[in-house]
Amino acid sequence: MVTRKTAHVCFLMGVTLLLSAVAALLPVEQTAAQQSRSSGAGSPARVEGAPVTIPAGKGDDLSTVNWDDATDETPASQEKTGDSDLSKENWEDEKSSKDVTEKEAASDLSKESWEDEGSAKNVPEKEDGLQMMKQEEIDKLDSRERLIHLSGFALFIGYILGGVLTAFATRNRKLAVSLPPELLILLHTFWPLELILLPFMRARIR
Amino acid sequence: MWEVLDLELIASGLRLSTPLILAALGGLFSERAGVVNIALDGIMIFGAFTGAVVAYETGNPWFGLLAAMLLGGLVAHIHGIASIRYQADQVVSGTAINLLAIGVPAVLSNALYNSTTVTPNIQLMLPIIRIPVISSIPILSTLLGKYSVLVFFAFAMVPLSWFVIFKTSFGLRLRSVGENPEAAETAGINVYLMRYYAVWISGLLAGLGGAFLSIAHGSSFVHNISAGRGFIALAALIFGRYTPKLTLLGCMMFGIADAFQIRIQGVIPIPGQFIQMFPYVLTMIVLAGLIGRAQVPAADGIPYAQAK
Repeated sequence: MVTRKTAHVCFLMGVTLLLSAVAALLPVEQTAAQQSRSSGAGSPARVEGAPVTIPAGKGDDLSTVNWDDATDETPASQEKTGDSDLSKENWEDEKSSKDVTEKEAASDLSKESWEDEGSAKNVPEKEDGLQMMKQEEIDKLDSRERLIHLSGFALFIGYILGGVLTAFATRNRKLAVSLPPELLILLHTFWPLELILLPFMRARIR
Repeated sequence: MWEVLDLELIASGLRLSTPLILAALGGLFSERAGVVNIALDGIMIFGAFTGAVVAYETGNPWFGLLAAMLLGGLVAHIHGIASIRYQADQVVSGTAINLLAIGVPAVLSNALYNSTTVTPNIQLMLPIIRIPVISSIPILSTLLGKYSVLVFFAFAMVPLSWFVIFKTSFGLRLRSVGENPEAAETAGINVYLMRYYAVWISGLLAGLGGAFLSIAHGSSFVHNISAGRGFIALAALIFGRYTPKLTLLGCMMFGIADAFQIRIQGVIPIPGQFIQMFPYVLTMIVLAGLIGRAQVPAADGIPYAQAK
């Protein structure tokens, strides 16, 4: 016979599993809005769809890192602890490295199209179009952030309430009385596991 | 100098008092049950580290908050096992956890992010809540208009804690094991279990307080992020005579003192290091002046041997 308390516990389990499924299935991605905010703070920004910037460590192959997405400020995670990168530098060619840098800069500039600089008529329209696109993207990203917060909040509150209700519901169970309090507290901390064990310890004490 | 005394000072003080409130309420549960929890500062550091790491790795600050809370509970549970089951000196056990908190996050941070002092900035912090009507009223908008969600949560925990401790049977049992555990056991209350619950709850709340520092107030974990706030929370608890309402006032006082020392640096011709001492000197004055008058639970700090 299903008692009211058993029904409550099953309902609680169902709600919790549903919340967990919703929270787990929602994609948690870094938004460009947050990326633009965090790039000001100097964090290793993650761009949607782009490879994640890997913090440099000892012996890492830095040639595979996507430096185009790196921020200007080097965050702590990208501190180089080993001397392997410096040892690969050819200090004798210090002057030539400057030339290389200048050449690279010049080549980058040479790729720029300077012909459109004078056509001011096309610039406002393009800027309006770009602004609209950016606004749409920002709205989309804001709504995604809101979803992240809602799902996270639901999981947080659901976990707390679930823990409290589970502890209350199991107080008269054999589970609570036979187990030592140290284990019981651990079970309350990870109460979904406690609910799984509950059907195996159905007997009541009072 | 007097221009720093404005409404923004009070608003900053309320914000800075949030971790103190959460840790102090945690300490309240533990102390009322008869277990001295000196480890609040260490639990806050563990909570701050866990919150920052999980929030960074998952991209969701709420997951970090939950992880910080749970880890705070587990760390406090270690303190509980040492103090309750093995009847170790509670101050020594708490100090050991504080010492662990200095070293373990640094080691883990170095292993994960190649830095012993700071973790990467999280991309998404906890949301800021703007109360619609209050935000448009001139004075109230500064005082109450815009805070992190955890600030509101901390203030909401005060009446909730009062209700749980003083108006529920759970709270009555909690207080009874802290005042007279022998009588409580005679009445059929499991003293060990109640004390474990109290210490666990204190860890959950202190972990939340630590998480505030790294994922709501700041955006990463830095070495010594708590700056002794756990001990200040204990002082606020003593100042509040182990009641939630007065503890709140004590935490707000310390929070405003902290905000004051931040704002006054550079305004008056006193070295910043001396100004930074202000909240801690205030803590010592409070402890020296009020500790004799605070009504400590009768069995607080005394290990209890359960009758077999």
